[in-house]
Amino acid sequence: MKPISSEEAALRGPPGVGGALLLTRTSLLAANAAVASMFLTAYVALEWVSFIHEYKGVPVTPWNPGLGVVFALMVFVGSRGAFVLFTGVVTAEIFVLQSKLEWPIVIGVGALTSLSYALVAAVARRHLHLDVGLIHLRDVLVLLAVGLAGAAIDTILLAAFLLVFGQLDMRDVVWASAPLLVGDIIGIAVMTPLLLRFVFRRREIVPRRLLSLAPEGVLYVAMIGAALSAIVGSESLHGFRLFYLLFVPVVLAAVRHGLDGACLSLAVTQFGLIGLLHLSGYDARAFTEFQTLMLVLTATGLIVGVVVSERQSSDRLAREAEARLKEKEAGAAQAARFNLVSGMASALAHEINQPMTAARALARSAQHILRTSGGDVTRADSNLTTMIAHIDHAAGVVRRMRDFLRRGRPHVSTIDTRSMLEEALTLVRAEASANQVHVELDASDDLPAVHGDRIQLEQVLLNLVRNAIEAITGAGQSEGYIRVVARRLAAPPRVEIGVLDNGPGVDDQLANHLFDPLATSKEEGLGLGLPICVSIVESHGGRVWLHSRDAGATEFRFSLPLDQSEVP
Amino acid sequence: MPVQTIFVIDDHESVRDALGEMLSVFGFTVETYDSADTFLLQAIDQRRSGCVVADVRMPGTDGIELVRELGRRKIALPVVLISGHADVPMAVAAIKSGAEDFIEKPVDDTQLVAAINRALARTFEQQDLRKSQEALGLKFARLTPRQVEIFDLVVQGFTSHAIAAKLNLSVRTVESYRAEIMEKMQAESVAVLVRQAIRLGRIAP
Repeated sequence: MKPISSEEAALRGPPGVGGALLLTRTSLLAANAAVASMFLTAYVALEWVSFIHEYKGVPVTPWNPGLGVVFALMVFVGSRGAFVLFTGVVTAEIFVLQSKLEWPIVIGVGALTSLSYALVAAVARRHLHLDVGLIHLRDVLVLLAVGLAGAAIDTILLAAFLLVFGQLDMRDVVWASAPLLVGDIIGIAVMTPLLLRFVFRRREIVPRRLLSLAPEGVLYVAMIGAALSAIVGSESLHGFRLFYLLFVPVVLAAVRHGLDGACLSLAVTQFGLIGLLHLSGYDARAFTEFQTLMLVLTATGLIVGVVVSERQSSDRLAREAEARLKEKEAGAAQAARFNLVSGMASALAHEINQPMTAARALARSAQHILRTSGGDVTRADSNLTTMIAHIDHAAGVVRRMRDFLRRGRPHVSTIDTRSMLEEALTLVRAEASANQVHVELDASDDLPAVHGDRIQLEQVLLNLVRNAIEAITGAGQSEGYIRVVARRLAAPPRVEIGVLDNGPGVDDQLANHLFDPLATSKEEGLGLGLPICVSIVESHGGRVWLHSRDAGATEFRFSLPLDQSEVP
Repeated sequence: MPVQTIFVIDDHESVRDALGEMLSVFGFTVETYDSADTFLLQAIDQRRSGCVVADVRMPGTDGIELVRELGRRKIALPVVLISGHADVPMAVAAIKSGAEDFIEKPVDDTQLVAAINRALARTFEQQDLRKSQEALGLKFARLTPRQVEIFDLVVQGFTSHAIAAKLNLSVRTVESYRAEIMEKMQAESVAVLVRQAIRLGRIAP
């Protein structure tokens, strides 16, 4: 066996079998030896189970499940698996078949068999890049093809070898080769995918899920059992005609559970078929004919299974990608909100400072009145009432800011459009007035409610208004003016919200890249504001556009559909 | 003595009203304005006196510009500036412009009242000074040209004899002029007369 090499990963490969990751050299070797002996035992045991008779030295078994098992090891860990096969063939020949062949012939048979399969396994691994997870149709086809090639090569080599050494004559070759070929192929086709899917892949086993699948499994087994007894119970010719019945449970399992379903149902069918045929005393010729039919069933089942698996996994991948994208978008939107608010922080501090100033002055007034004997208590009371209103106002600013920042995941609700617009404008008004920009809301009375994430939609408006403020102050204009216009429109029913400013307009160069990430006209912007607006509005089924880029009447607009079905 | 008025100027109604209420509870006479421009248009009058309390950041004329504008118009109203965006450059600009004080929002009333009182006290002093100056000018105006001539010579240190010789008058006539001058100027001594002459700018101090 090759020493530890770059294939160390492969050595550790058979996790379900070899056990834990063993890091030291000796324990690694010990683990490998354990795996090898387990497979050897499995091979010999299966050989014993499936052995029926020998025809002039060639083990005529109706199928070769042991080969399928060891072939799985070979495509999984590489050619080293050939040693297991060689040892297995020789051991089985001597102890199970109790072959009367001389030992050099036995060794020759073992060597040729292991060589043939080592060759095709290496080709599959190195040149055809077989993915042992059998995720794609291609991998299943490659596996079937190399199994077929291996069986063919092995059959030809063995026939030639036995002919040369006089163990067979020409007449016997076809008689012996056909069952060998079919038996080997069916062994690989049924057992190798089963092992690769269930033994070599470390999977999480969820007992609850297994339990939920149990009734369905019982149903398939019952169907397979019924079909098999119908086939085997009837007369020979009739039985072949009824073989199609087996397609029903296998294809059903493949369609419902993909490749895993196909592998399991095929294994059950195969073992059941062999067992029943054996019990009913069919002869070897009938076995081979059944096995040929079984091969067709196996190929069909595996192909349907893998195609279904492929589609299921691509569906799942698409769903996962979509979920990740959504999460990322929510994260980006939140980051942009922080950016937005940190830009507004000084204005917001001012916004809170004003009610604080008023509240403090009123508190001192009330205190002064109350400390003066015969003071006007009514006046003090009215001062305190006004003071509470100011404190509430400050608290409102803090709460809105906190709400605005905190929300990560979108939260869809029915939103009163006007109040949403007003709330967003209160957040930005402080900054506007600090920059001597006048902000005005012009919302028509028939504004309907919209469905969506309130905070995100406020963010869109805030972004557009802030951009307008920055454009105005950036141009050094003394009289800034922003008008937020909201209208209900028909065909398609929607709300359109426009942000108009009398800033310097948008130049040609910027207009082309306006909605690209990182395109910014500002010195300290991230350039993510508009792309995030676009992503938010589009996730609400609407769109954002530059309605007018003229100086003095620049307008950005976004639309929100009213048709509820368009809202995510 | 005219009424001392506190003019509170802030574009934020809540702040304007609350500060106004507080100062009025403290006993000041208060008027509030929503902008420096309104204040300059409506309230400015040479005879008004008191103290302005103004926000720095306001639409239109801002607080610092207001202090400069009052200076340009030679209106001696002290200004206490308040701001929610207080930073060092702003405070420096405020004091340089001639503001009485610069106070951060939320306003500490002790600091505000102290600044207002300081400003008003200085106003009172200045008003006293101006009044006595005016009174002196009036007294001086009552002198005849001959008396003015003799006033100037007396404060320059000439004796009655020297003045008599200089003006070709008798010493007795000079003495009587001197007595009339001292009476009109309400000066008890030549020393007082000299101080008055300095204040009137007739001689260098």
